[in-house]
Amino acid sequence: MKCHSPIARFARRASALIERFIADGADPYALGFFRIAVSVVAIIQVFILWPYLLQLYGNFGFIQWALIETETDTWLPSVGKLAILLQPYRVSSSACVQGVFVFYALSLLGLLVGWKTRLFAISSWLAHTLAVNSGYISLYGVDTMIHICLFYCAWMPVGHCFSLDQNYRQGPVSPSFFAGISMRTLQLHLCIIYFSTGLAKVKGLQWWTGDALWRAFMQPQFSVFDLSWLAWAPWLAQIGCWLVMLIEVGYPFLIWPAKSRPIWVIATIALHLGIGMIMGLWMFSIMMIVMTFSAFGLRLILNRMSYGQLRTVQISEGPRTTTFSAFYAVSRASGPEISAVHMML
Amino acid sequence: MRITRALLVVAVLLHLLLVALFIWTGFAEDWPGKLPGALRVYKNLSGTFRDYAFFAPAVASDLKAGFLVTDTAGEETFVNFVAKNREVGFRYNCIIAACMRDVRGRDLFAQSWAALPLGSNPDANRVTVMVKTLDLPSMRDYRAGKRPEWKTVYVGEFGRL
Repeated sequence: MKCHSPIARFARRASALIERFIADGADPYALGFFRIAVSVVAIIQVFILWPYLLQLYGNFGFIQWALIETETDTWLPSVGKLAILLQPYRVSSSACVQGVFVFYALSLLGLLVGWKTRLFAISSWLAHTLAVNSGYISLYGVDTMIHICLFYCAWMPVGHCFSLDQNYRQGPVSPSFFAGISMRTLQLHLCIIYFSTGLAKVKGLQWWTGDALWRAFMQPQFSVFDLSWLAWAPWLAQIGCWLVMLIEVGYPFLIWPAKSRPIWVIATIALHLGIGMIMGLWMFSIMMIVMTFSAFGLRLILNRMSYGQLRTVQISEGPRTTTFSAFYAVSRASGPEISAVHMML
Repeated sequence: MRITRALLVVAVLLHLLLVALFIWTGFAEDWPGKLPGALRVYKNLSGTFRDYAFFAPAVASDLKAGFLVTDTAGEETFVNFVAKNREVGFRYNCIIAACMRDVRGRDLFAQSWAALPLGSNPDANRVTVMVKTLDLPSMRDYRAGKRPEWKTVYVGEFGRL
């Protein structure tokens, strides 16, 4: 017996919407881009840190391993533990640190070109895990983000396009449920990240008065330009703070609707470009831009270019209507009939 | 196939739930036992080892550190704990901030820092670690003429045994 009460109708609609949100397939282009961009940023970081590795991660660096090794009830892989394992083979702690980073860089190269992608993604992630657990006192936001991204690269289908693996397979780049759920995971995780940081700022008085930006810009470690003139335009610092809070707290709500998505993607990217330019936090900013652009931005551009779009085809199966996604590589000339609604959900 | 998909959805939802719990509630942080231990390992492996409260709720004061290295002849050299490379400089600042935040562990961490100049310079006999914090005036005070000032927050002297 069918129930036609408004509550039942709402429940059915909500459940269909959730099912579509989770279960719709997606093409792997954004994940391919994500893999390449994350690898490039991580490789650049290795190059920058290479001369300082022993200071930052070594046993005789600024923080000796004995001080930061984890408690015995939580087993976490670290360079320190690996060094103990390799001690019988006369591998020094310094060689161990450098070896881990060489292994990390080579794994990242494999991940970048997409050769044996899964294997190199897992090895990159594990090598990064070893490194962060031996130098976590020196870590900052970019390391957290790289670790999250490598964790996702380890299990998401990031090698299904723009990769040597795909080139060897020679099959078509096709949408999949796995790519779809992976993209949703990345998107939802980003929402948690931005909402969390936004909420933390909302709780702080400095972010309402404008002092937060003033204090950040005036710190010698972040100072790129002389912004002391802000003291004579406190309203500007205040508006800046409010905008930051608006972008971050609004992210999980306004990044989804089709109309506000482009605005929020551009605003978020502009926010990070600003952080990079004014505070010199370029690695962190680029990493955040990569994440938002992969999760939400690239699809907007692909849709606009009418390239590699997903068309939603509704096929009736008796009383039930199922939504299937079919992949079309269409040129701009194919006209406006292609629906972008599918990915805009 | 359907079961695989369902399992994947459940795994993803569980992962995101754990991420949210780790960040917002300090879930499994100090709990004893094997399961919380396993959850902490997962937290670390999945990259949720830090909260995402960048520059929040307040922007902390900047810190800087330096070493006064005294050699066996009594000559003193001052070495700033700074890096030419900006990216590395951020990391040095993270080390200084994290170590100074831990009031009980300050001496231990400073001793660890001092070991580096002592280890890399065989003539060094004694190292004095100095940490200063930037006292930044508010915008109003800055307009009134007050200027940022470095104030010493830690001094520790360490020598060879």
